[in-house]
Amino acid sequence: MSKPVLTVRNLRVSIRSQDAPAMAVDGVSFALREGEVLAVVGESGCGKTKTAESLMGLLPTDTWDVQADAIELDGVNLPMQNEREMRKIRGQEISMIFQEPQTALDPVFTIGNQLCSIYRRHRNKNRKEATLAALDMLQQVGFADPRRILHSYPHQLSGGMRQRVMISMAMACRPRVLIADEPTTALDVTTQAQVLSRMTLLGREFGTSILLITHDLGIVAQYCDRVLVMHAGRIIEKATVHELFTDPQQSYTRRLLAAVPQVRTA
Amino acid sequence: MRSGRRLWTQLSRDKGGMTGFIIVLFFLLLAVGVWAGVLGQDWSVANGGRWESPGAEFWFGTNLLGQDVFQRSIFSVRTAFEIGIVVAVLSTFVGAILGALAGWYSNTWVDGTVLWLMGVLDSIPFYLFVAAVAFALQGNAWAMQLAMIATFWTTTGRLIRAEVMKIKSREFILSARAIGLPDPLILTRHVLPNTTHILLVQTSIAFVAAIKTEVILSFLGLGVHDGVSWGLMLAESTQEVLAGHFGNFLAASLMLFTLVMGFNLLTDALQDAFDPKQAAL
Amino acid sequence: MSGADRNLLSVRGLVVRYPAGVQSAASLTAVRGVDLDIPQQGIYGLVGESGCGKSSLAHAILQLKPVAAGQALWHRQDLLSMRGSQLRSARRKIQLVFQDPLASLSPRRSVLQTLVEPLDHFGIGQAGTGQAGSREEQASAALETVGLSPDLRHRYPRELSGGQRQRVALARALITEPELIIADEPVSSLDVSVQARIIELILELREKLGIAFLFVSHDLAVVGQLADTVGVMYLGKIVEQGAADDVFARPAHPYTRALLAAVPVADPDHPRPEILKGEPPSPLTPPSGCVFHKRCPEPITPCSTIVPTETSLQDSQTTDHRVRCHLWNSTKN
Repeated sequence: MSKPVLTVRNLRVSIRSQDAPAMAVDGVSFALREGEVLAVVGESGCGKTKTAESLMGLLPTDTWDVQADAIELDGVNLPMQNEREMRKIRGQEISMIFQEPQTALDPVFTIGNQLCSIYRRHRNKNRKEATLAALDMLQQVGFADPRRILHSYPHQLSGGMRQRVMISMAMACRPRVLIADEPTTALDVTTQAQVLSRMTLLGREFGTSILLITHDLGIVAQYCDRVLVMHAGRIIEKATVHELFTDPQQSYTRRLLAAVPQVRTA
Repeated sequence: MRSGRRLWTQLSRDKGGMTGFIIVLFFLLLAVGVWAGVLGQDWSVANGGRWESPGAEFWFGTNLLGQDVFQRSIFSVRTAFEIGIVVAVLSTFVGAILGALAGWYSNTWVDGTVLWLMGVLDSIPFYLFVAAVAFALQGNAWAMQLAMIATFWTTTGRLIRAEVMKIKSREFILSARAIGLPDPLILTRHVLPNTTHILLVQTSIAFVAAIKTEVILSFLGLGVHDGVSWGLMLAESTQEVLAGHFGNFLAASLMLFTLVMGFNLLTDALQDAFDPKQAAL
Repeated sequence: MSGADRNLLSVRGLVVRYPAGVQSAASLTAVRGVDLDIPQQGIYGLVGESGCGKSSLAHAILQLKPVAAGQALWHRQDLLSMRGSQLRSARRKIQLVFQDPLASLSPRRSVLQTLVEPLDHFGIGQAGTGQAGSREEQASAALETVGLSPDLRHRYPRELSGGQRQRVALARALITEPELIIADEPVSSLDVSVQARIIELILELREKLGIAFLFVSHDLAVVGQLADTVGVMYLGKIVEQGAADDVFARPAHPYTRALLAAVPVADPDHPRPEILKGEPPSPLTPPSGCVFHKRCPEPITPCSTIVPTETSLQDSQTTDHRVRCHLWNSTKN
C-alpha cells in the first residue's frame, strides 16, 4: 500500500451569493496515492472540476468559499490562504492541465519561449540548458521533430499537439501531482489515445501521481488504477477500476455504466 | 422584458451605478421640466443688474446682460439633452446599420467601402470637420448635430462590425441560413438583437460625448445660437472671470461635471451588467 | 451504380473548396470528391476526426458552403444547382441540427418563436385568421413529439438544460415535416445518459415518421448504435463505406481499423487503445497519392504516388461495402 501524496478531508466549495449558498462540492474526502492514476468521474455539474480547481487554489475567493478540514501534500497542509506560497507550489509541486488547449497557451510567444521559461524560472537553468531540457521533454511526449515545435506558435499546432505541449509544461518540474481536467474531451479519438498514453507514461517515469477528471468511462477503464464517482457534489463510490466495472455498488454507478455506448465489433 | 428585469437587479446592486442612475434621472427630470414650460423659462429675461452676486433672488447671480445665471443653467440641461439624445440615437443607429453590413459582408466591397469611409472620417481632425460642416450649412440649427453624428458613428460601427463577424459563424445563424431566410431578415431578427449590449453602452457614451463636444463647440462659437447652453455660458465666463465674476463659470462647470460624472458611473455599471462573463454566474 | 429511385439523396463527386482569403494564402479543399447514398428512411453515419471535412460536406448539401464540383441528387434534381422556389421547397424537406444546442438556438428568441420561424418562412399551416392559434398548436405538437412539455414554449434557451435544448433543435427540424435531417454532431456536447435518450429519440423518429438521417459524428460508439450505413472520412475523402454491420465487423481500411482500435473500451481487461503514428494532417497541405499513406501502418509502393480508387469488397448481402485503398486494389488484381 503506497502512501498518500495528496490527502483531502471534507472539502466544501460553495458560491458566495445573496440567495442560499449552492454547494458545488459537498464534503469530499479522498487520498491520492503515490504513483497511481486516480479517476474522478461524473456527469456535468457533479463538482469534479470545482474539486480540482479548489485543490490548486484557483477559485477566486470573492466568488467562491472553499473550506476543508485538510488539504495536504505529502502530509503538509497546503498554504491556501497565502497566494505567494501557492504560486511557488503551482507548477512545481502540483500541476494542472485543462480541457481547452487553445486558451491555455499564450498566442504571442513561441512554444520554446513558454516551455524554456519554466525551466529557467523553476529549475534555475540557463538558456542553453533550458533549451536542451525542453527538447528532451518534447520528445518524451511524442513529438518526432521537437526543434520545429520549439519554434512554433500555438496557433500553428493542432489541438492534440497543443495538449501535449501543455503536458510537457506541466511535467517540466516533475511535480508530485498532476491534475488533468478532461484533457482529451476536445480531441479526436486517435489523438486522445496518443495524449493519454504519453501522459500516463511520463507519470510513471517521473513518479508523478495523476488525478484524472473525465466523464468517459472508457478512459477510466483503460488508463486508471482507482476511481471516484461523483454526483451532486459528493463522492458516492470509491473503488479500484476492476471493482467498479465488475461489481458496481451504487445504482447511480450502474446507470452510468449502462448508458455508455459500446463500439460494436461484430 | 426578461433581460430588462435581470439587468435592473444587477444594476441596483452596484452602488456607483445607482448613484449615476439617480443623477442622470434627476437631470432628465429637469430637462422635462424645461420642455414642459415649468422650469428655466426666464433664461433670456434680463431682470437684474449687471453681474449681480449670487443672492436670494438670483441664486447664481447674473451675467453681463443681467440674465439669471441659474435659469440659464437650468435651460441648458434641456439643450444638453436634446443634442445628446439626437446625436446618441442617430449615431448609434447609423453605426449599427453600417457596422452590421460591413461585418456580415466582410471581405467584400461592402466591407471595404464602409471601412474606407470610417478611415476617412476618423482621420479628419474633428473640429475642423465640424467647422466645415457648420460653414457649409450656414447657420442651420442642425449643423452641429449632423457633424457629430457623421463622426461618432464610426466607433459603434467598428464594434458592431467585429461583433457581427463573430456572431455570423455561430450555429443559430447557420440554422437561419439553412432554412433559407434572406440576409436582411437574418440581420434584423437574429444578428442585431444580439448586439444590444454594445448598442446600449455606446448610446450612453455617445450621449456624454455629444454634450461635451457641444460645450467645446459653443465655446468656439460654432455651437448653439438660439437658446443657451453650458458651452455658451463658459464662453461668456472667460471674460467675466478675469473681472472676478464667477457665477457663469461655477454654474456651468458644476452642472456639466455632475451630469458627465453621473453618466460615466452609469455607463460603467451598464458595461459590467452586460458583461457576458459576469452573467454566466 | 445505385439508382436515384431507391435513394433519397445521392451525392456524386462533391468537392467543397474554400477560396483563398485574407486569412490563408492558399485555398482549402475540405471535401475532395465524395460519393454517398442515403436510402429512404435510412440512417447514414458519417464518421471522421477533426479536419476530415464531414461538417463541410453536411453543410454543403444545403448550399451553406462553397461547392466547387459535384452533384447532390434529391428527387432526381441536383440540390447544388437549385435556386429560388425550387431551393426553398427542397430546404423545407431537408433540415439541419447542430452540435451545440445553446449556439444553435437564437439566444434572444423564445422556444415558441424559434419553432414558429420555419413555419412562417415556408408558409406552412393556416394563413390569415386564427394563424396564431394554429402556430402555437403546431409548436406544441412538435414539442410533444420530442418528449418535451408544451409549457416550455415560452422559455428562453438559457433556461433549458443541454438535453432540452437539443430536443428543441430537433423539434424545430421536425416542424416542417422533413424527409431528411442532417445532424452535425448532435449529441457530442451532451452527457452520456442524455445522449442515450436523444439517440433513442432519433430512432423513434425514423420509426414513426419515416425520416432519414445523415448523422455526422466523430464518435464511433454513437454511430454504431444508430446507423444502417457508415462512411469513414479522412482528409476530404470517404475511405470506406458500407452497411454498419459490415464496416464494424470487417473493417477494411487501415484508418477504419485504427479508429476502432483507438476507442477506449469500458473494460479494464481490454487491451489499451493503439496509437496511430504521425500527426493529423492539415487540409491545406494534403499528402500526395493516398491521403492516409504517411500514417498508414501497412503502406505499399503505390500509396505515396497514386490516389486509390474505390473497390467493392463484395462481402455484403445488403449495401455495397466499398473501400478506397491500394491493399484491396492489388488483391483484386
